[in-house]
Parts: sequence; structure tokens; C-alpha cells
Amino acid sequence: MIRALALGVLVAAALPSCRSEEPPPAPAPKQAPKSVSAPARLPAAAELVKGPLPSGPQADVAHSQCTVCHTDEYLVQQRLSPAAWQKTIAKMQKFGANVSDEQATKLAAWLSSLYTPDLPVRPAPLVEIPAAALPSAP
Amino acid sequence: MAFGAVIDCTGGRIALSAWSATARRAEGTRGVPACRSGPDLLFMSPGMYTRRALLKGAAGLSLAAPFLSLRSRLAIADGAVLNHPMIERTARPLNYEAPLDALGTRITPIDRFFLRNHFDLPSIDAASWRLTINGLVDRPLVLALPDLEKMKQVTVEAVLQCSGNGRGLFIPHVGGVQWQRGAVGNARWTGPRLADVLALAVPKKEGRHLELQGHERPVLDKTPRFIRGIPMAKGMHGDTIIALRMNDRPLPMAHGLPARLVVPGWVGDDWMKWLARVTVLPEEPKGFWYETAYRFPITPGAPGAPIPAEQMRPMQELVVKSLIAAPADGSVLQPGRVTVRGVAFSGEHGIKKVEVSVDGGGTWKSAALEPGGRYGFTMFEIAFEAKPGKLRILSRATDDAGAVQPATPTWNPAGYLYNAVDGIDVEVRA
Repeated sequence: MIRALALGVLVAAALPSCRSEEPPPAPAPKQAPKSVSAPARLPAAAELVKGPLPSGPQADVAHSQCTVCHTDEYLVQQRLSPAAWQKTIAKMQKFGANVSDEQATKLAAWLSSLYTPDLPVRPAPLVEIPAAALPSAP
Repeated sequence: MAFGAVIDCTGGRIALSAWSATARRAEGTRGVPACRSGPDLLFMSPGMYTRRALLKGAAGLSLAAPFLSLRSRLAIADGAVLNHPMIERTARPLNYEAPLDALGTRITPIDRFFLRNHFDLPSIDAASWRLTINGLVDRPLVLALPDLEKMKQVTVEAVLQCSGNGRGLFIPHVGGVQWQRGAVGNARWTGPRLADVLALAVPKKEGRHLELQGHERPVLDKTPRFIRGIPMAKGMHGDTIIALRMNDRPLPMAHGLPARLVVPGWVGDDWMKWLARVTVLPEEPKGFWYETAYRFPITPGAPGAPIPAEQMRPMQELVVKSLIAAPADGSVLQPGRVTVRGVAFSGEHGIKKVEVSVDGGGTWKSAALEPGGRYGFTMFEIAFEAKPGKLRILSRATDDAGAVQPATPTWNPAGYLYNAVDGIDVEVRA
């Protein structure tokens, strides 16, 4: 385990155990909002599914505020409607995120344009639980 | 074990990360946004490494190995082996899901037991840990670990499941950690009965509920601390314990060192880790985590439909469920005898029956059961003759009270208690 961590090697996705981490075609609900035209969106979708948050001013807000408490894995695995994104960010403001209402509106719009309900499910990496989390009491 | 060397090696893709051990350690307990650079590294060069290539490299190790060992050893890249592979949902806080092969045994090993956390691990050690019992009691108490260790110890085998297990399978999607199937495990938990500990403090008869709090804290002051509650009657039940041991070893840090609540048959959110305070109340607890979060519709509506807050109730008991641990979803099997194995459990009821279909639900046969008691995993197993072709294999559990796993999940706004019939797809070819 230590060796695996030391080498920093993470094995992802399509192992048989990661059932439906990469489901065949996306469910593609019809209500899925598209704020970008389809041709422009499609090439980006494959990268969005497994890549990091795209860069930009809203990413800077996310990286400086959201990640105070949690990794941005929380953001990039969501597949939410604009209303659900707004609600989530409003909850995080209540929880103390240092994000103004204006920033929150922009952030929700940006995330809503990226992590939409029709985007395929994100594959998650296979790792080991960090050794520091598992020692017992002496 | 028939599956040894027949797992599909094609079409899969392995991604590697250069995310260093140092970075992982750094993000473990402090506010370092390590995942800022995480996902891009996690998935660099997709397609560069295939499972075929990995298996070639690992062939010497894996061909003779039993199925479960092979599965573990599949997680091999660049000579490094993941002995205990887990699905990382979020690295901070620690949210890890078990791949289904981890459920191949009645007792889930600790290093393959899922972890769910709202916050970072607390700074705590067994020596300085204290538990406060207060509220409607005649003698408020502060207890240390030796106080609990010298009490009568009880062992309960019970399933711990995150109420959000399966959230990622709901359509329409709902927000939250996108658990699929493996946020569940079964362990032997040992410690004093909560009733015995409460008796030391002499609860007043007006006490109807118990408010529960752990030692963990959110990063920000405005974030509500994780506070839950259970009715007094469940707290006083002889099977509800303060566990000091998990699978016969002292409780590991991520599982609530040195003491956590075990509320058998009930959702994991009640199993307070790093237990800090039990307060006897005349009524239900207040606060976000009890009044708003972890609620389920009294009468579920259509998928996607909002439910008014007053139509939501606190979640308590788990619901009947089975999961197929083997074969693995998507695997390719050789024709001949194939064994389907898995786990089944319900809330406060044992499992009466697990039916398996190997034709996508056309016909069902009852599997052989190894009972795990009222709260534990019941193991199921059934063999069939596999002929070449594509198969959809399903499992459907029925509990002692007659509750049956439904064909479709009960959609709810926060994605709790997913328990639809489990299904996997395999291909049989020579």
C-alpha cells in the first residue's frame, strides 16, 4: 500500500469493479439545458467528463473558495440543472463560503453550462485509502 | 473459482496519476486544496494504458490466482500494486467507495470498507478522548475510554450503509457525493451498550430523544456541526452499542477512533463517529443535519418532482437490498458453470430469500443463503450453466417481513436509500 502511494499511481475507470463508471451512451434527458451550441459543446464534453475544472475567472472563485472545505471532485462529479446548481451554491454561502451573491450567480451559471444532467457520469479513480486514516488506537 | 483468467481485457482504459504521496498526505487533515490539481493529473493520457497491457505485465501474478486476488491485482500499473483498491469519490473529505468485489465475504475487511465524511478527520487520540452524557439526566457525566472498556462488552454484527449509497444511479440526477453501489459494508462491532452507559447518568423519564455529536468540526464556523438524533427507544435497545472495536481490532481513525455509535439496521448517518456527546432531549433535535438533511419523503412522488419540507421525515431504518459481488459487471466468462454470489441485507430484519435471474428478469431461481443474522450481510450464491451470448444477471432480495427489492428505485430529492433490483451485464464466450 505504501509503495503504491509512494509511486503516486492511481488506476482509474474501466476495471470490471467500477461498474457503470463509464456507462455507454449518456441518458440524455430531453430537458437538459444547453447554453452552448451542440457542435461547440461536443468536443468539450469528453474532456469535461474526466478532466479538471476548465480554467477561467469562475474557476478561480471555485479554487479559492469551494476547496477551502473540499476538493473540486465534489463539483466535477455533479450533473445538475441550473436551479440545482444555484441551490447548492446558496447552501454553501450559508455554510460560510466567502462568495458574494454576484459571484454566486456567475459561478452557478458557469457550472450549469458545464456539468449538465446529460453529461456522462464521471469515471472515478481507483486508489487505496490513505494509510493515515486507518491506524487504530494503541 | 471459475473466473480466474477470463476477465475481459479489451476496451478498458487505465489512467495514471503523478499525484504524489506527499500531496495526498498534505491534503489529509489540513485545508490544502490538493485536488485543485487533482483531476487533471488523475486522468492524464487517457487511452495510453490498457487493461490488456496491464494484464500482460501482471500475467505471472494473476493467472494462477484465485478470483478475488486477481481482481485486486488487476489494479496494477507501472509495477505498483493496489492491494486494496477503492473508488475515490472525494479525497477531501475522505469519501471512498468499495468496488463490489470487496463484498465477496460476509465480514468486510477494514481496508476495503467504505468511508463517508462531511468534514476532515478530527485531531483526537484515545487518551484525551472524552464522552459527555448530559441533558435530561440526574447525573451528567464525562467518560474516558477506560470507563467504557471496563463495562460489559457486546459484539453485534451489522451492516453500515451510507444513506446516499446508490445516489449516482438515480435518474434524474441529484446532487451530492455520487455513490454507486459500494458505500456499504458489514463488520463485527464491539463495545458497551449505549443503554448501560446512559444508565450511569440516570436519564429522566421525560427523555424521548438522544442528540448525537462527534468530535469532528467543519473548517468554517458558519458550517453547522454534524449533529444527529435517534429516539430514546432505539438508543436503549440492547443491540445499540458504543463500538470501541471493529472486526476485533481497536476502532481505526477514519471509523471514529476511539468510539462510535452503532445503530444496527439504521442509516449510517446515525452511527456517530468520534462520539463526543449524547444529550437526552424531550423532543427531536434541531439543526440542519436533522431538520433539513437526511430526510425522506413520507409519500414519494414522481421522479424529479420537488417534495415540500413538511412532507419529509427523518431517515431511520435501512431498506431491503441485494448486491452482486461476482461475477464483475462487464466481465467476459467462459462457457460452463458460473457462480453468482453477493450480499443481501435489510433494516431490522433478516433476509428470507434472494432470487437470481440470468435472463434479464424472465425467470428467477432462489439462491442458497448463508444467513448473517438480523443486521448483517446474508451471503447468497447460485450456480448456472452459461452458454455463449450476452447475459443480464439480476438479484432480488426479500426480507423476513416480506419486503421485496423493487424493480425501480424510489426517487427522492437527495438520492437516499436506493435499493432497486441489482443487475450486471456479462458476456459468455469460448
